[in-house]
Order: sequence, then C-alpha cells, then structure tokens
Amino acid sequence: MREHTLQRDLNLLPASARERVLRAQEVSRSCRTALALTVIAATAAAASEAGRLQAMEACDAAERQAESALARDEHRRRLEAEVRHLAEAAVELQRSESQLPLSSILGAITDALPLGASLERVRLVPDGAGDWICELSGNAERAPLSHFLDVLAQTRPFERVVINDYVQASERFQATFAIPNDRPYSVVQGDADVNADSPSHSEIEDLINRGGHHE
Amino acid sequence: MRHAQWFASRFRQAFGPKAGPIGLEFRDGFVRMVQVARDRRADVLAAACVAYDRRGPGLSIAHSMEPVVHALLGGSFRGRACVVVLPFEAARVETFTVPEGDDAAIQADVARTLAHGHGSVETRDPEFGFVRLGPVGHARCEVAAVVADRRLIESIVNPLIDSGFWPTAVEPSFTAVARACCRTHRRAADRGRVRLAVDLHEGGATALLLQGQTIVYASSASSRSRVPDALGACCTEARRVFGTEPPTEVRIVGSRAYDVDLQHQIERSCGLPVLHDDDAGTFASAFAEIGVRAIDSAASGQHAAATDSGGAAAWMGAFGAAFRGLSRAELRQSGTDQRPAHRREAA
Repeated sequence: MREHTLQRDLNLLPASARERVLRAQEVSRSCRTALALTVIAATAAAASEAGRLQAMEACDAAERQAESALARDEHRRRLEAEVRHLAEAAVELQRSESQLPLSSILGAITDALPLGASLERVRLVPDGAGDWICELSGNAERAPLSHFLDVLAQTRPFERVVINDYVQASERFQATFAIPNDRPYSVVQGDADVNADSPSHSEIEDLINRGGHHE
Repeated sequence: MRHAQWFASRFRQAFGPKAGPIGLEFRDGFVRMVQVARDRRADVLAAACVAYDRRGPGLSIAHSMEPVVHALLGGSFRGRACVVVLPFEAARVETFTVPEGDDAAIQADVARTLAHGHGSVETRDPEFGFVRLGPVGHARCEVAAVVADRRLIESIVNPLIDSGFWPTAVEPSFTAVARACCRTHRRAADRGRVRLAVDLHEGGATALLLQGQTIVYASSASSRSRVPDALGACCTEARRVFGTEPPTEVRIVGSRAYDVDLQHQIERSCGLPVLHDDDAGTFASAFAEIGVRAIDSAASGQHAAATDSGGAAAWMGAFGAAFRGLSRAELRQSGTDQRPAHRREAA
C-alpha cells in the first residue's frame, strides 16, 4: 500500500515523544506476546485436560468392561465348577449304582427269608443323606419274620433293620434297612460271602419286579 | 466507559479490515480526523471533526486536545497509530539552497539558517526538518526546511500518548497535501505530469510544484492575498532552476478551495485551469462517507459536522496524513538516521 509521495517522509516528532511511542509499542508488543502465550498455554491446558478426561473415561470404560468380563468369567467358572461337580456327582452316582452289589444284597435277603414267607417287593431308594434304604414288603408269620430281621441285622453292612408295619391278619409286613454308600463294602452274612457270582443288577430288578418268590 | 471504547477499538483493529494510521490535521480552527482502509484508500473507516481554539499557538491547542481525544476514543477508529499535521501557523517553511552533502550536514545547515531567521513561529526550542527538493548544480541542492516549536508539538502529541495513541509522525500540512494530491493522480499516465498544488489556509498558503510523486519546489506565502503571486513565482522559479515542464493544472486544498473569485485570480495569474475532483473521484466519494461518519460522531455537540467544516478539499490534508504508512522500522530510522532517501519515482 505504501507509495512514497515525497522524497522523504518528513517527521517532526520530537525525540522524547518518539521514545515514549517506541516504549509504548514495546509494552504493547510484550503484552500481546504474553496474551498470546497465555492463550496458547490455556488452550494447551484445556486440550490436555480434555485429553486426560477422555483417557480417564476410556480407562473407566475399559475397567468396567474388564470387571464385566471378570464377572462373566467368574460366573462361567462357577457354572463350570457346578457343572463339573454335578457331572462328577452323576458319574459318582452312576459309579455307585454300578458298584452297588444288588445281587449280593438280594441274595442275602432271599437267603435269610424263612420258609413259608414270601417277598412281594424289594426296592432301593436313596435316603437323601447319601445312604440307600432297602424297603421290603411281603408275607410272613410273626416269629419267622423276627428271625428274618435278626439275620438281616447281622448281615454286614446292613444297618438300622426295622419293621415298619405288620398286619397280623394277613401276615403282611413292611421292613427297611439301610445300606451305607460312603465306603466300599461287600455283603457278608455271617462268615459267608454272598457276593460271588451274583446275577446282574438288571436281572435282579427284573426278577423283583416280576414278583419273584423265594420259597 | 473509556476502557470499553478502548477495547472496542482494539477488537475492531484485530478482527476488522486492516486500517492505516489515523490522520489528524489542524486546519483553520478544526481538527479533522480520518482513517481509511489500508488496501482501499477511498474506503473511509472512521472520521470526526472537532473545533479547536486558535487564539494562541501553544497553550490553547493543549486545552483543545481533550475533545480531540474524546472524538478519537468515541469514534469508530481502529488501532493506535496516528499521524499529526501541525497547524499552518505552527510550522514555518522556507526554501533555500544549501551545499550538497549528507543529511546530517544539511540538517546542520538548515538549523543554522533557520535559527537566525524571523517568522511567526517561536523557535526558542525548535524542531527542524527538511525535504530535499533537487540538485541545482555547483554542488548545491535546494531544500524545503521546516521548523516548528517543540513545546507546541509535545503539547499535541503528549495527550495523545497519554490516552494510549501512538503519534508515529508529525508533519507540516504541505507534505500531507502533496501526498494527497499525488494520490489523486496516481494513474501511471499521470506519473510524469507536472501540476501546481496550493495548500490554502486562513493565515497563508504554501504553493507546491509537483512532478508525479515528487515535490519539485515549495513556496510559502504568509498572506492569502499573495497566493496567486506565490504560485506564479513557483512556476517561474521551478522552470528556471530545475528546467521542468510547465504545469498543466492547479489543485487547491483548503476550506476556500471552492471560492470562485480566488479560482479566477489563480487562473489569471498562472494561466492554468483550477481542477477539482469529480463526483466519482477518490476524495469526492470518500467525502460523502465522511459526512455520514463525522455527523454520526457529532452527538456530543463539541463535534462539528463535516459539511460545515469545508468541503472535500478541506479534508485532503487529513487524507494525506492518513495515507502515510509509517512502519515501526521507519519510526526507528527516522529517529536515528536522518538520511533522506532521494526518490525520484516519477522519473
């Protein structure tokens, strides 16, 4: 824009005034520089703070996600443990059932059954405490029935042999005894081992369910 | 309130269009202030006009600076830089021949010559300056020397500095007028044209011979009645000394530029036509804008309406000051290095 119209721009500004103007310009420039630096610093601080807040939010989100993942993982582990426990229990139950010497038990019962008596039903049910309850029902006179129950009471590992019901008129009885399930055992009646060469579990059950008699 | 105006001015300067310095001209009882856009000089950004007391050259002006500062702060002026044009009575201009030399030597010759001179200006504490006009041969050159009272200048610029403005330059009115008249004819085809310009005041006049953008000769007349004679002498002297081509037109700057009788006298004396800007010219279009802006800022009653303070020609000195771009480097140079750059750009 500057176009000199004169040989020289004549200036009658006194030296003192010129110094004052230069000083004022210096101060103004310094103030502008300081203001600019302040604005830059404030902007940088604001940007830094915004970045920090954003990073904190991201960190919180990651923590929440991690906590959620941990919770899910813990839940999964718990479920897996429960499933594993149930599977183990199922396997144990299956193993227990498969190892239960039903033929020996039934053999011990039928061996002890007195003459003239009959069994209508033999049933094994869990008692809820880990043991098995064997329920017997049939017909027998009173005296042989007592002897029958004494023989069962002496048979290992039968426990808690009791007569639950007895009808004198029809000579019907119901008795139960417990078979422990927390340890390995073999059915022994007196000194004899009744476990040898017993029929299989399914065969015995079929026999019982058909109402087999031991005369 | 003043601080709010000040911050508004800074805000406009920072985010508005780039503005040149504020031109302040003391002329014939009025202080005219104008500011134009840096890239479009006919685009007036702000203008104001206030009256000042002319009863005494020194103290009365100092008392008149308060409404000037008030007008500067209250107007739409941008930035702080301003260029002050002294009253005609406050600066004495003399043209004489000095031995060719560097600026310091010429400055010393000017100071020595003017210290023994007689004039209307109190020169007990003078501030000198000069404009190198051109070589005249025999190792001598012609200079237009200017002397002004330093205390008067300080009484003007110190209130401005105290109010936060930066008066980067103080100059006599004829240099501002020369700058404005050159700007009037800045087309490339006019660069080499020779024209006469008359800086007309109530207390006298300065006749200028302009060739393109260069002042070839300057002659001051203390009485307005002697203006035609001064113009004639200017033409004759310039042609005799410098061998320039004859001027083709006369431009008059001042509130009496449209005085028909004076125009006829000048035309008869010089044999040249007196021309004014047409309505589409730079100053005519700018003056229309000044009228609006200056009247808008005259709400306090101390401000004078632009139309009452002379026409467009009365504002040309203020425009010339506003056209002066003075960078910080130039301010330093003007304070430490008085070497004038002898530019004959028209050549």
